[in-house]
Order: sequence, then C-alpha cells, then structure tokens
Amino acid sequence: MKNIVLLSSAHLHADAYIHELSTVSDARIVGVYDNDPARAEAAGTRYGIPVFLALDAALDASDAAIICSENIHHEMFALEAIKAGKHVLCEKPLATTPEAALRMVNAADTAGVLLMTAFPCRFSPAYQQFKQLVNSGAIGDLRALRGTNQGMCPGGWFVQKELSGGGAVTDHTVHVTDLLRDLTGSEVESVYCELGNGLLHGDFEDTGVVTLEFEKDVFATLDASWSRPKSFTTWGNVTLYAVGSKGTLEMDMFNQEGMLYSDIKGKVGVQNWGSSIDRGMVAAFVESLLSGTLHEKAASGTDGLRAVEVVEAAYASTIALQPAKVNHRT
Amino acid sequence: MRVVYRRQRSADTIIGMNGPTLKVAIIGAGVMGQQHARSWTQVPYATVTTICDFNHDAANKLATEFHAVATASIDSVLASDVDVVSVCIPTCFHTDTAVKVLESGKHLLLEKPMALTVEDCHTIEAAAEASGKLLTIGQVVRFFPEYENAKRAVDAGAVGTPAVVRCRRGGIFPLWGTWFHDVNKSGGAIYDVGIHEIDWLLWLFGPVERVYARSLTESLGEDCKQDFALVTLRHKSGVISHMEACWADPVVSYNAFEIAGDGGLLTHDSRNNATLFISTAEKQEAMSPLADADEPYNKQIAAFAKSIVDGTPLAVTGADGRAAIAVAAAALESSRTRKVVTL
Ligand SMILES: NC(=O)c1ccc[n+]([C@@H]2O[C@H](COP(=O)([O-])OP(=O)(O)OC[C@H]3O[C@@H](n4cnc5c(N)ncnc54)[C@H](O)[C@@H]3O)[C@@H](O)[C@H]2O)c1
Repeated sequence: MKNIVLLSSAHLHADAYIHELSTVSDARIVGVYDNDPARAEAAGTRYGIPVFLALDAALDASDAAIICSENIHHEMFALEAIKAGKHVLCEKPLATTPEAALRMVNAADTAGVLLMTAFPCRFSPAYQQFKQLVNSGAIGDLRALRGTNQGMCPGGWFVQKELSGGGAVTDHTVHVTDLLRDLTGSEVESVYCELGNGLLHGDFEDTGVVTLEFEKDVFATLDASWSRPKSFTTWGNVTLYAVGSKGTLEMDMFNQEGMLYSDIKGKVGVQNWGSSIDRGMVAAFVESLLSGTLHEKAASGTDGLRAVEVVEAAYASTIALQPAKVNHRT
Repeated sequence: MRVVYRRQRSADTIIGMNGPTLKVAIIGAGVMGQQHARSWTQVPYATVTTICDFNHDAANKLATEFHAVATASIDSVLASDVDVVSVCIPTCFHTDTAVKVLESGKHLLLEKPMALTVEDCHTIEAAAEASGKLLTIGQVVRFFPEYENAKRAVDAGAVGTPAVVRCRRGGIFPLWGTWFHDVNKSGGAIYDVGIHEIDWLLWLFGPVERVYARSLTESLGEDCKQDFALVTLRHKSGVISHMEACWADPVVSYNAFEIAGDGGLLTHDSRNNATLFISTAEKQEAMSPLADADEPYNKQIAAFAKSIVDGTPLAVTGADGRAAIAVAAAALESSRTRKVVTL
C-alpha cells in the first residue's frame, strides 16, 4: 500500500486525481497540505481526508506526493518532497521556467526518486490508438500535424502571472506539445507564436497560435487559446490532425459525449461518457511507485522540462517576431 | 455591334424591358468553365455565345450543351462582339489572357487565384484601368451563404471584437486537372485553395501585417500529388488567424471556420451541414442543397452582371484579388525560408 499526500489543491485537477486515486487499489490518500491553510481546510472537507498543518509532517506520512499547487510553487513543493525522498507526480506545466524544471529533474535524479509530469492526455484511448495507427504506417509517412487545446479561461490564479507564470500559452501549449513529442519521438527544434489578449483584455495572453518545427522532418501548429466562451457547451478540447503520405487521421479526444439541454440549469452542456484519462495516469503513477520505475506511457520530469522549453521559445519568438530555437537543457 | 447600357438602370428593369443581352464568352472549358457556363445561363439577360478551349473536344462538348460556338482560338474571342469573358484556365495563363481580354475591350471575370505574383496582378489591374472595362476575380467564397453570414455577423458585432480565427479548406487533391501538381502553374495549395480563405479573412478582419507559414509545397510534383499548409496571419487589427489549406486527403474534402471574439464564438463545419443523406449499397452521400438564387457561383456571376449593366460597385475588385495574392506569396515565401514575412 502506497501512501500519497496531496500538496495543494489550487489546480482544479486535484478533484479528479483524488477521485481516481480512490478507485486504485494499492494506494491511498493520506491527507492534504497547502500553502493556503483555508484551501487545505476546504479540500480536507471536500475529499474527507486529514489536513496537515506542516509540510514535513505531510511528507513524513507519505511515500509520494501529488502536486496541484499554483505553477509558481511546483518547484518548491517538488524539491521539498524529493529532499524527503518522496516520489512526485507534478501538475503541468512542470515549472514556470526551464531552469526551475531542470532543478526538479536533477534533484529527482540525484535522490533516486521518480518525477512524473501530469500529462494525462497520453493515457487517452483515442490518443493511444492515434499513435498506434501512425506508428503502424496506416497513413503512410507522417508529414504534418495540427493540434488544438482550446479552452475556457480558468480565471483565478491562472490569470495572475506571478502565480501562473503566464496565460494561455503557458497553460495550454504543453499538453499538445507533449503529445506531439511522444508521437513523433522527436524534439521540437524551433517555435513561432502569435499571441494576444483580445478575448479578455487582461494583462495576460488569452490567445496563442504556435507553430512547431520538429528535428524530424515534420511541422505542426497548435492553438492554445482560451477561446471557448463562457456560454460554450464544455470546458474545451484536445484535437489532433495528422497528414501522412497516404491519408489523414483526426482525433477529437473528448468527443464521446451526449448533449444535455437542461431547463433545470438553463444551459446546454455535454455529458462526457468516455474513459477517464486521469484514471489511466493516476493508476500508472501508482504502478510506477510499486515497480520503482516510471510507467512506459507516463511523462517523465524531462518530458515536462521539454514542454516548458517550448513555452519559453514561444514567448521568445513573440519578441523577436521570428521563430525561436528551443534551448534544450541537459 | 456594341451594346450601350444606360447606367443607373436596374437589371430588373432591363429584364422587364426584354432589353439588351450580355454576350458571354468562356475561355477554358474545364471544371470551372462548365460552372461559369451554367451560372451565366441563370442570368436572364445574358447569353453564352462562345466557348473557347485549346482542347477542341472540351470546347465542342460545352458549346453543344449551351448552344454556343466553339473555338480553339483566343484571338477569335478577342475579335468577336462578346461583352464579357469568363477566364477559367490554369492559373499560370491568367495574366496574359486577362490582359488581352481587357485590351480587346471586354469585361472580365477572372478565376481565382488572380495570378501567381503581385506584379502580374498589377499588370492586370493596369490593363483594366486602361480599357475602362470591369475586372472582377472569382473569390466566390464571399458568396457562400455560410461565409457571407459570418461577415454579416462579425460586422454586426455578434462575437464582439474578433480576436482569434481558424479556418480550413480542401481535402482531396484536384485530380481532374493536369496542372495542379506543378507549383509553377497552380502555386500549390496555398494559392489554389488557401486563397479562398485568405480573401475571406482579409474581407472580415482587414489587412495583414505579418505571416508565418509551413507547408508541404516544396515536395509537390508529379510523384507527390499532396500539399498541406498551415498559415498564421497577424492582421493589422490585432486579430490572429490560422488558415489551413489541404490537398492531402484521399477521400474527404471539407471546410470549416471559427471566429472567437470578446463577446462570443461563431463556428462552421461543412461536415455538419447536411440537410440530406442518402445511403444505398452504391452510394453514401451527404447533401446540402440551396435554392438556385442562393447558389454561390450563380450569385457571383449575377452580381458581376449587375455591376456591368447598372454600375453597382463590384463585390470583388482587382485590388482585392491582388491583396490575397500578396498574402499567399508571403505565406509561400515564409514556408520556404522559415522566416516571418512582414507585408
Ligand atoms: N472558384 C473555385 O471554386 C475554383 C475551383 C476550381 C478551380 N478554380 C480556378 O479556375 C481555373 C481553372 O481551373 P479548372 O479546375 O477549371 O481547371 P481544368 O484543368 O479543369 O480546366 C482548364 C481548362 O482550360 C483549358 N486551357 C488551358 N490553357 C488554355 C489556354 N491557354 N487557352 C484556352 N484553354 C486553355 C484546358 O484545356 C482545360 O479544359 C484555375 O485558375 C483554378 O484555380 C476555381
């Protein structure tokens, strides 16, 4: 039985991770610690779990930590957990700068603990089949890709740069970037990004259209915009479209849904009935803890770092107004 | 005999009067030439008199269908008394033919893309200027009801101020033609399909400041009848648009767009717009029929005919055609050099 502690529930994904953990045997959630005591209290009540008032006590009670803090605190929580010899599953983006992400990766390596980045899309059955089809040559040689991860603006700390590190490009570039790296088995060489704040007019970007050039001879674009309005039917999407020499392949990851037209809520919405991608990821984390090596489908700390480097290059390109080379740290 | 039209007279009046007939010649009897012939026939006061194609069979076949005269010689069209010419030949021949048609004193509907270079577009515009004849470009997407509706909606503020736009066109490579795979003849997918989206984007969101694009155009050729382009435009208004031009799907063609603004999101996907679906052992097909009057090619040609007879301002000008080519050229250059191109 592995004991897992939740370090902050600032990110709403904590709800899903806690729920999915409860369905996994061999692991249990021992409690929550948060840098914001009120939020810790609320999470303790919501999940029916103990609240730790000190980080070292929380870490002492556990084998591993799931970090769902504001982006800016990922590094602090991860380094503390790693120092205490605990394995870590950290919400994306792994950190707000490549340097911070690299410190996390190096610390985990040195301490001999697992560092996993929360990229649950890798566990989507649609993506797994997408990858299998591409790799089996079903559409011939892969030539170009187009992705989207458009969403509603999550608001709150996500739009406070001092806590999030950035807006939509920080939040939504990393998922599709990670899928494309995983799919192509290739690193991103250069990045061009157009971004703006024309949707919400805040001091953060809410639109971002990113072009990626891979070391392999493949290019891609991805749309990271928070361009689903409040009146939209659902939170957003993850889509991929691949052009191969023999055909095309299209994925709409969350399209397994029915429509609910509700007079009770006065709203049109969707009811998704697809397989939970979070369950797959949380189960893989627990399996990794049991086996002592990272699950083959899981994203490592280095994978998290590579995605953060792409975000860095995306921002750099908006200043140079030319594609920016990705600076890969080792 | 040249027909003199009284300006300011509505086309309807002319029909009512059983008035003058616009004599129409079509140069190029391929896929688009056939479409133009059909659409000109829908104009009550126009008659297709001449079909010109250097492929005799193609010219004869279409001429027979429309009770017109077939010719293989452009010169005979130029020398004839037709009032207006639809030029529907491969893009690489547009400039020479367009200039000749205009110089011979005929109004010109030139298929898109206007030409392969901005310089050529200027040459065509200059010929129109010199001749005093009307020039329009077949940017027919402006007449597609879903795209026209988007223009109306955006102008009316339906999505607030637009911020980020996506659009896509194409799918199947145009295998009917013998020339599309040659980038020097067609310009590739950016010029041939992307031009529709570019024109529409310029129409809705204004001029473009810079372009970044990646495409498969470099490998396009006899042995690789495939192209795919992803183009990011930054409009002067600040709008970001992402345009996708596709010649890479063996079976499915579709078009789609979405416009996100600070007040809402407008979406379209032609795969969701069928009003009819037939399924038999022989055939599965989704259909989305429109009334004849709403059919985009008919509307495009009706609008041009009206401009000719009553001076209604052109829906699409040579300058519009050139503006789209400037963006297409920038996109192709960007893809080739992997640099951002500023306009
Ligand atoms: N608006 C649209 O939706 C649309 C769709 C398809 C094509 N187009 C455009 O229309 C133009 C024609 O395309 P198409 O698909 O009809 O091509 P096509 O190959 O079907 O037909 C071209 C025809 O022109 C003839 N031709 C070629 N050169 C000629 C010349 N110098 N003089 C006389 N005849 C000549 C050929 O014999 C052929 O019959 C192109 O510019 C294309 O980009 C527009």
